[in-house]
Amino acid sequence: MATSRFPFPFTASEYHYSNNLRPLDPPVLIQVTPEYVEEVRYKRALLRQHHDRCYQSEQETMTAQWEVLSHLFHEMAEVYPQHFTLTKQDNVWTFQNHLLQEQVQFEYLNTQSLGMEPLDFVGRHVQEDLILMSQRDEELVLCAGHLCFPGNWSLKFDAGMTFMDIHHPVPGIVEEGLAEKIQRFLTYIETGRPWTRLNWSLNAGRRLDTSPETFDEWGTLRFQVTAENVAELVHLRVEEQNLFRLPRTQSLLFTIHTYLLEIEKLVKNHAWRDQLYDVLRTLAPPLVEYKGILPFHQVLLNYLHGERVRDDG
Amino acid sequence: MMGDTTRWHRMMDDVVRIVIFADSDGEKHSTNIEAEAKIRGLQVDIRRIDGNMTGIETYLQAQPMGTRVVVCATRSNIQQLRPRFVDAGYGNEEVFFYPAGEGHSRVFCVGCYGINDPTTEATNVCCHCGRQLAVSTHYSIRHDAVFGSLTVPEQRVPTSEVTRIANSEDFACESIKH
Repeated sequence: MATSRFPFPFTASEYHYSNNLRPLDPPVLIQVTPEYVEEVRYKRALLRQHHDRCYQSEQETMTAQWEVLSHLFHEMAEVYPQHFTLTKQDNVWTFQNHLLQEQVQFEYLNTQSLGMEPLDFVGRHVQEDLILMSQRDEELVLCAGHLCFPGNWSLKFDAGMTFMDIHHPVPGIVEEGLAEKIQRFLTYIETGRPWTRLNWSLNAGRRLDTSPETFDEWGTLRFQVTAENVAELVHLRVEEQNLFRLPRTQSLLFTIHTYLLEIEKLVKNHAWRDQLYDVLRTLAPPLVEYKGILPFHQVLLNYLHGERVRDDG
Repeated sequence: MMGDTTRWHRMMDDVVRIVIFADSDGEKHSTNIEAEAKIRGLQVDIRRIDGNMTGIETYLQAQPMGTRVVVCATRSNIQQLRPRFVDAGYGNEEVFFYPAGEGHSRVFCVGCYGINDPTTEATNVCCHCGRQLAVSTHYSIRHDAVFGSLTVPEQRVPTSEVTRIANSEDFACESIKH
């Protein structure tokens, strides 16, 4: 993708987990990029082949799911009128997706008329993954999800878990109390005031679907990174995560838009190159391991340093 | 919440009475929690987990408002007791589960969603799909199992070692597949 549109995640030369949420401005949850058609078709193919892996929901989430569909279709039609149209006649809605040349008509709140659950339906029209969390006794619980491009986590395994339990594998985040602080923050998010944060990792290979279910297909590439191929093989993976409080059910919607940028393109921006080098050089060893960078950490550092020296010289 | 010490300490700050349910595996944890609770001046009642725990709902419903419950037990006992706390009117914020016997959980294979018998080993061969798993401590109440992630050859232990593990009695296969 073009570096001009890439959401570079670092603002300092060191990286630690923190509550890096900030108000989403403008408050638009969905991004449509030039990769839209390719990525949405890829999502639909994954859903056809691995529906149980990519979609999970609890039955009692149906009202929240309709809220998500309604909010996103309205937003898409309003923000991207050239791509999407939503018209209503009484309770019958017509949604037109001009990018895919599709038109669908359904009865609002009648799931049967959609042919599938509302979250599953709307998820097939956006590049974002959609995660729904309900709030129970001050805890957030993952109650539904439409997840095709996971950053090595399993929706099938995590469905039904609390926010705290989901984050158990992240080094230090639960023990040091940060996960609980973030959860408390999330429980106070108000309707109409969405928040956003960027999450990052490094991938060996250009692949949006880094599901743990297929780790044996893509994980081996981490060990094949060499000085010769590091620039084209390794990608900075950034997830733009938006959080939105649904007004009626008070559930929280996470939208996750995943971006990949090859290191060879990233280094053309010297400020990004140097910041990435500094972050990787000072990254805590448990995070190097957790983010799956360990097998090519040193090779990448050497490459970034070499590029810097070459330009300085 | 399993193993969430921050929440546990916050819970201790907010209450005057706790009831600890413990089985033999959770005895050590329960002793430590009882000692800490007493230092903080909390009323403590300890109940032994045995048999089918007849009358547990009546006992819980008779507790004064604001009572918190701590369960120090194997995951299997926690799994059985959990719905009964809900039936007795206790929400997530009022019950703290402290699983004992770490490393003795069933293993969820993320490759095929099969459930494998409990293991104490760091790696396991899935009895459903035959792939080697790295066994984590990430636990799901819904699956009553810890997460088993797939591995690639570069991460694996030598073949002879895998064969030894696969042939051992530790990895009997449970016929559950989700």
